[in-house]
This record gives sequence, structure tokens and C-alpha cells, in this order.
Amino acid sequence: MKKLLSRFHWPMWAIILGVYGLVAILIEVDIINAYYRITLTQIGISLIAALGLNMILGLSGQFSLGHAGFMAIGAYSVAIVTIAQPSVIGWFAGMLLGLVLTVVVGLVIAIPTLRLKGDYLAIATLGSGEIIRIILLNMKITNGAAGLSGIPQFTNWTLLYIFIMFCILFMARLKFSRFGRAALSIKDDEIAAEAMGIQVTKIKVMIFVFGALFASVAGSLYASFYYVIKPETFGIARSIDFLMIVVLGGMGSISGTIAAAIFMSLLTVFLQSFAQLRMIIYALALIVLMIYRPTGLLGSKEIFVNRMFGKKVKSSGNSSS
Amino acid sequence: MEILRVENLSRVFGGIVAVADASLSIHEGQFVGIIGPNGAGKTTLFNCITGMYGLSNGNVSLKVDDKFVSIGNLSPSKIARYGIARTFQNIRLFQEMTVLDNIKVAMYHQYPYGVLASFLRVGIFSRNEAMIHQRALQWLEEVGLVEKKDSLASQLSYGDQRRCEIARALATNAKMLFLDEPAAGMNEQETKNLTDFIRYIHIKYGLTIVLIEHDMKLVMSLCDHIVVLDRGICIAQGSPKDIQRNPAVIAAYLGEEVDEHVSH
Repeated sequence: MKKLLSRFHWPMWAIILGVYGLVAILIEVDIINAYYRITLTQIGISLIAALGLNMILGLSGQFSLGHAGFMAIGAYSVAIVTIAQPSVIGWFAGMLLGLVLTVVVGLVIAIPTLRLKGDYLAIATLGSGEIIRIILLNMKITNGAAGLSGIPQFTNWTLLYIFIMFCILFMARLKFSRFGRAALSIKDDEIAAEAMGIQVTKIKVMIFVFGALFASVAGSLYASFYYVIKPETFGIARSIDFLMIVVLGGMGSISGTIAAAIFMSLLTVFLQSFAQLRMIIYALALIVLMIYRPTGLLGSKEIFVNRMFGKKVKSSGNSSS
Repeated sequence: MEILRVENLSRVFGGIVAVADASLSIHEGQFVGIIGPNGAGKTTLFNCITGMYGLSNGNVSLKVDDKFVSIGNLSPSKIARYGIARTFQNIRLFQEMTVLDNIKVAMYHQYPYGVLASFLRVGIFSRNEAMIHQRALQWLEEVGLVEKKDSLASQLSYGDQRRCEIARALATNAKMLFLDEPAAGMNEQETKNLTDFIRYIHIKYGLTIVLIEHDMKLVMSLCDHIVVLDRGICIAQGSPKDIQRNPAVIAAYLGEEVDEHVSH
């Protein structure tokens, strides 16, 4: 019993539940009004998708510019299913359908393209993202360029928060496992990893599909919040938004991605009225960051809540926040 | 007892024959040295055996569970899992990872668990991670790097990086170790320490070691069998004594030229 209690990290749980409770209360008393709720959801959705991209980019060192394509798969699956079956069960069914489709499409894309390196991989993934978008644009069931509208809204703070926590936990635990180590070794030196018996392609494909699944979940949450989705929503610009969050936060760092996702979404809100200026500030921020801190805000480091509170933890077997 | 058999192995790059028709047989527990002038095809032969390069011709077979298995043209990771580990001429540690994690990577297949187990942190995860941790520390203890376990591999000194790379190769639980110029860039004292260390692991773990080296003192003192390559052709094989007396070797490599080589 004592052992069980000592493994229970009170500070971490206090923060996880505290953030949830605080935001829930603020929504209840309407301090976070409908307008800020959009920002909040934006942060959550970007965070989930960016975590997925960070897994691909930060753990296995593979480049992907087609991340929004997987988001589109999740979004359209939920949209189509919930329009026909507007219930929470329908939402989960749609999300699961999205996940299954993402695995299939992810494998089809990953197996040939992950043999490429650097720029070639970037171009190939960019192309695959565009292919997904063009297919959606030309299908009947997705209603072409007009997109789908009247999607029932199921995404609320609770659902969003559960998925955020699930994704953070999943990535943290993957990172501090043999799979995380294998992926990081591939990022570092593919030839040496291969010589140590790591099945490089298998690990790369696995991490890529996991990352794509995160994007798919983000898409499912997106569709069920914004009423309307169009193929244009999931273009290259969105993939680059995620890429910026990852680069800003630090490749491989979960804490960094959380910080960057919040920062970027808030920046977007504050610069809402100067839409043109926004892109300039984005670009400047990135250039400055790349000059002074090329590894991103946190590099590949993590901030451990447990360590901040002076609790001794082993290097494996903990999760970050 | 024979453990590795290389038959008529050739490797051609474009029009250049890097290794031509090399045949050798390595016995269990043997310490084999591969020597030859620069560009003789030593590293190419290593890369062919460890799967880094495909073979243009010939075959390599390895004894696995008392049966010979053809490993020519298998992927390096498959060959590594059959028990052949190697180090690289230009050290290839995982620079951005800690010394401890470098060793742990090599134990990927020894204490397996699934993705689900790692997510749920169930018993098998904790047990196997604890085993990996403990074994990795043992390997570091063995090479004297245990105090540096938390530093990044890139922060290690050159000699320590060499040791770390050997520890990582050993951690794969290999029965054969291929060392590509382990003493390159080391001074006399470092080379001596390394020689003692390699001799120690050879005896302690009953390994079969194949080594490429230019330092003749090291080769002659460690190896019990020497293979001489020259321009891709295997010109002599035998005990260190035979090799030192072999006229073909003297013509190609030792003799006047080697004196000059050693003095540099």
C-alpha cells in the first residue's frame, strides 16, 4: 500500500485535475466566453496534432509536411458519421473509423516514402498530404469544395482535455520506452542503429502511423467543434502551422510542444485584427529563434512536474507534464 | 569449430573491384586480424559481412544454433540479431543520447515488451526495463564508464567513445565482434590500454573477434590468425609468425614500406 502511494505522483495529478477544474469553472461562469472557447479548442487541437508531428519529427527524425492530410481523414470521418447519426456514440464511431482509415493511409504513405531522406521525404509527404486533400475535393460523399456543414457539436472542454491528456501520456510513455530509444537512435545515426539490430524501417513506419493517428484525433475534434469543414481547411498551411509549433517548442520535447502550442494560438488571437502582420511576426519569430536557439525553446529536454517538487524519480517509468 | 565462412566473396563498385574472391574461415573463439595497405578492401569486406553492403558475388554463412545459415545480403539488423556486432572506423555513437541510453538501445531485442505494455506500464514493462537498466550499468562498469552514464556520448573523450562503442556492441549479446580500426588516432599509452581491454573481453566472454588495424604491434600481440588483403585480393592467411615470414606479404606490405609506415 505504501509502495502504491509512493508511486502516485500527487503534484502531477494536482496539476492535471487543477487545470481541468479551473478551466471548467471559468467556462461555467462565462469568463471563458464563446469567443475564448474557440481559442481554447484551437490550442487543444493544435496541441494534439503537433504532438503527433513531434513524435515523427522529434523522436524518429523523419520529416512530414502532410500532417494536415491525416487530420482531414479524422475530420471527414466524424463529419460523415455524425451527420448521419448525431450522437456521442456516433462521434466515437466516426473517430474510430478515422483512426482505421488513418492507419491504412498512413501505412500506404509511410512504407514507400520513409525510404527517402531529407528534402526528398519532405516533398513526398507534402505530395501525399495534397493527394488526400485533392481526393476529398473530388469525392461525392465529402461534397467537394463546398465541404460538409451542419456537423453536430460534441467537442467540449471535457472531451478535448481527455484526449489531450491521453496523447501526452501516450507520447511520454512511448518516448521513455525501448521504442522511444530506438526511434531516437535512428534520428541520431541510422546506420549505427541498424548495426545494433534495430529494424529501422519498422520503427520509422510505426512512429509515423502513431503520429498520423494523433492528427486524425485532432481532426475528429475539429470537425465536431466548427460545424463546417472544407478540403481547404487541411492544406499545406495547416501542416506548416504544426511544424512551426514543433520547431518552436523543440523537437522531441513534449513540454516544449505544449508551451509552443499555447503560445502560437494566443499569438494568433492577439494578432487577429492584423491578419497580414501575423505572417510577418510568425516569420520573424522563427528566424530569431533559429538564430539564437536552433534547437527550439526546450531543445529535446522535458520539464518534469515530479522533479520540480523535489520528488526523486527514475529516468524511466515517469510521465511528463 | 568453424563459426563464420566466407566463400569467394566479391564486391564491385562500378568498375572498381574492392574485394575479389575472398575466402576465409573463422573458428569459434579465434582472434582474427585483417591487415593490408590503405584501400586494400578491409572495411569493404567488413561491410559485406555485416550486411552494410550487398555482395556482388559469393556467400557468407554463419553458424546459428549448430547450423550454418547464409547471411550474405541479409539486412544489417538481421545479421546483428544473429549475433554479429561491430564498431566503426569513424566512431558512430548516438551522439545526442546519454551513454547509458546508447547501451540500452543495443538491448532492444533482449528484453522485449509491446507498445501497449509500455503505455499501460504493466509488470512486463517494469521488469524488463529494470533488467535493461541493470545490464546496461553492468556493461558500463565493465568498460569503466559508469560515472559518465548520464553525459551525452558526444561529450566523452575520444578514448572513452571507443570504449563506449565497444560496450554498445557487446550489449547486443554478440558472439562475434568486428572491430574496425579501434586504435586509430590513439597514442601509445591509449593503444596499450585498449589492447589490454580487448584481450580481457575476448577471454572473459569467449568472443570471436575480427579486427582491422594498422598498428602492427597491436595486431601481432592480439591475433592468433591473420588475413592479409592487397588490392581486394586475399594474398595470405596464417599465424602471425607465418605472416611475418611470408614473402608475398613482405613484398606487398611489410619490408621497407612498413618501416616507413610505422615510423609515421
